[in-house]
Amino acid sequence: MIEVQGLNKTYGQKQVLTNVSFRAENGLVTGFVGPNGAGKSTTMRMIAALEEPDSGTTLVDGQPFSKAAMPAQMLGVYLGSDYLPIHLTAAEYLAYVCTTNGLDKASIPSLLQMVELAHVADKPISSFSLGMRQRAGLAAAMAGNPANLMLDEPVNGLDPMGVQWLRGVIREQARQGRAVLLSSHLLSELELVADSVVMLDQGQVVRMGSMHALASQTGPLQVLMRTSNDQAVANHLAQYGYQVGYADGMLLVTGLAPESLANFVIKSNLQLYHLEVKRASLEELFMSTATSFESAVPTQAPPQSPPPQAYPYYPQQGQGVGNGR
Amino acid sequence: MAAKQGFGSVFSAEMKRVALKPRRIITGAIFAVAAVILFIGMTAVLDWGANEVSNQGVEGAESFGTLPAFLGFGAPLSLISFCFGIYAAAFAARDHSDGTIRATLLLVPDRIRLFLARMLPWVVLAAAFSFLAFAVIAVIGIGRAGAGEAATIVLQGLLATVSSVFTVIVGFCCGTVTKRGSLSVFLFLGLFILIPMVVGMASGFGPDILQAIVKGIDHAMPGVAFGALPDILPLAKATTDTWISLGVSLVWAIGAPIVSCILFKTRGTL
Repeated sequence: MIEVQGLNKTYGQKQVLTNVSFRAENGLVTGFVGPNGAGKSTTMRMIAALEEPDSGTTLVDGQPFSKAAMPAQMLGVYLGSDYLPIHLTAAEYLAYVCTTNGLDKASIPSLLQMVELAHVADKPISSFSLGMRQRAGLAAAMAGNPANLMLDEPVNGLDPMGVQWLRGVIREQARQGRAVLLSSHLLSELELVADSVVMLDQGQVVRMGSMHALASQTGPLQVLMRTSNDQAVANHLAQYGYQVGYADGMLLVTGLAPESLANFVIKSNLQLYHLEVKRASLEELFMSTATSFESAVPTQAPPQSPPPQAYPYYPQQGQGVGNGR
Repeated sequence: MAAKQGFGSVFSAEMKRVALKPRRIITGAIFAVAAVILFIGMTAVLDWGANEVSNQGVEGAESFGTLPAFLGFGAPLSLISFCFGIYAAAFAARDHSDGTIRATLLLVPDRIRLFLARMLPWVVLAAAFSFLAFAVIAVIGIGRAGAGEAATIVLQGLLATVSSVFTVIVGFCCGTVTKRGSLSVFLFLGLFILIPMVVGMASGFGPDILQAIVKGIDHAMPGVAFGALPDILPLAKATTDTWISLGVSLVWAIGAPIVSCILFKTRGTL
C-alpha cells in the first residue's frame, strides 16, 4: 500500500502541494490524474524519497521508502525517461538494479524479453527512442517483483501494442495483490485499468474515490436505449417532462432508472434492443472538476441528484405506446 | 531470495559501473604512464643540463652536483592527481546532469550509502594507478639514489599515493557539490591551481598583515597541502609548516566528503 498523508510543499513563493492525502490500496489500480502542474509528479517524487515535503509523510507498506531494507522489492518506480542512466546499456542498467538490490542476474534476459529489448540489450540507453526508454524503465521497475508499483505517464511513447501490453501488465500486478499508482494524461486509457481515481488540481486533492462512485457524482442518471420505435418512446417520455436526447444513435434518457424504462418498453409491446447506464467518463469527470474547482472549494457534500422516478404511466395491457389515450 | 540492501552490494554495483569499465582502466593507465614518462623526462633533462654545464666549465657548475639523484614525486604526483581529480569531478557532475543520480536514488534511497559507494571506486582507481606509477618511479629513484635511501623513497611513494587519493576525493566532491561538469572542473582548478597561483603572485607585496593572510590562504589550499605530503618525512625533522600541511590535508580529505554528503543527502534531485 502506498499512503500519502498531509503533504505540503512550497518552492519559493509558490505552494505546489496543499494537504495532499490519499491511499493506493493493495490489489487496486489507483489512477492519479490532474492537469499539467497540478503536483502529480512532485507527489510521486516525494513517495520515492527524491524530494522532501515541507510537512506530511509518505509511506510504502507502512514505512518511508528512504528506510527500505529492500527498495526494489518494496516499490518499483518509473518516473519517466529522465530517470534513466543513459550512459549504461539496457543490460548494464538491469545488472545494476540486480546487484544493488541483491537480485538474481539470471532474470535479466527474461526481463529484456518481456519488454522486447533483448535485441538492443548491449546498446546504450542514450541511443533508445522514447518508447524503448519507457520499456527499459518499466523493466527496471519490475525487476524486483515489487509489492507496490508507481508509474508516471508510462504509456508515453508506446505504440498501441505496447499500450495494450502495459495495460495487461498493470492489471496483472493488481490482480496479484499489488498496489499500483498510475498517473497518465491519457484519461481514456486510464479509465480502462483504474479501479479508483485521485484527482489533483493546483496542488490539492479535488476528487477521490472508486470510478463508480465518482461517476455517480457528476449528475442525474442517464440511460442509453434503443427500441423498435425510438421516436414514439421519445415523444411519450417528453410529454411527462423527462429529458430525452440522442447519443451514439440511441436515445439518451435522463432521470429514469433503467428498470423503469425496461418495464415501460416491455409493457408498450415494443422491442428493446439496447439498455445501458451511461457513466460519466474519466475525461468528463476531469473536465468538470478542473473547471468547477476555480469557483469554490466545496464545503459541503455535492447536491444530490433527484432520485430517478418510476415512470408514472404504464399503458394498459394490449395497448402500445400512444394507443388508447 | 534477495538479501537486504547493504553497502557491499551498492559498492559492488558502483565499482562495475565506474572503476571496472575498460575505458576507465585505460584512462587510468594512460595517466600512470604519463606520470612515469614525465619523471623520466625531467630526470633526463636535468642530467643532461648538469653534464652540459659541467663540461663547459661554467662558474658555479659544481652546484649542479648538489642536485639530488632522485628528484622526488612532486611533478608526477601533480600530473596524475590532477588528471584523476578532474576526471572524478567531471564524471560525478555528469551523473547529476544526465539522470543517473535520479535513477540510482530510486534503487538506493539511502543517500549516505550511495554517496560513499559512488566515491570509493574513484579512490580505488586513483590509488591503484598512482601506486603503480609511483612504484615504478620509486624503483628508478632507488636505482639512482642507492639502497640507503630505499626506505625513505618507498614511504614517500606511499604518501604520494595518499596525496593522489585525497586529490581525487576533493575532485569527486567538487562534482557532487556543483552538479555541473564545467563548474566542477572550474572549482577544482580554482582550488588546486588558480588560487595558489594568485596567492603566489600576491606574496611579497603589501603590509605584514596582508602577507600573513596571503600565506594563510596558501597553506589552506588543498593542492599545496597535498603536494607537501610526500616531503613530510622524516617526521623528526618536521617543521611547523609540515604539521600545518598534514592538518590541512586531513581537513580537506575528511571535511570535503562530509560537506558534500550533507548536501547530497538534503538536496532535491531537480
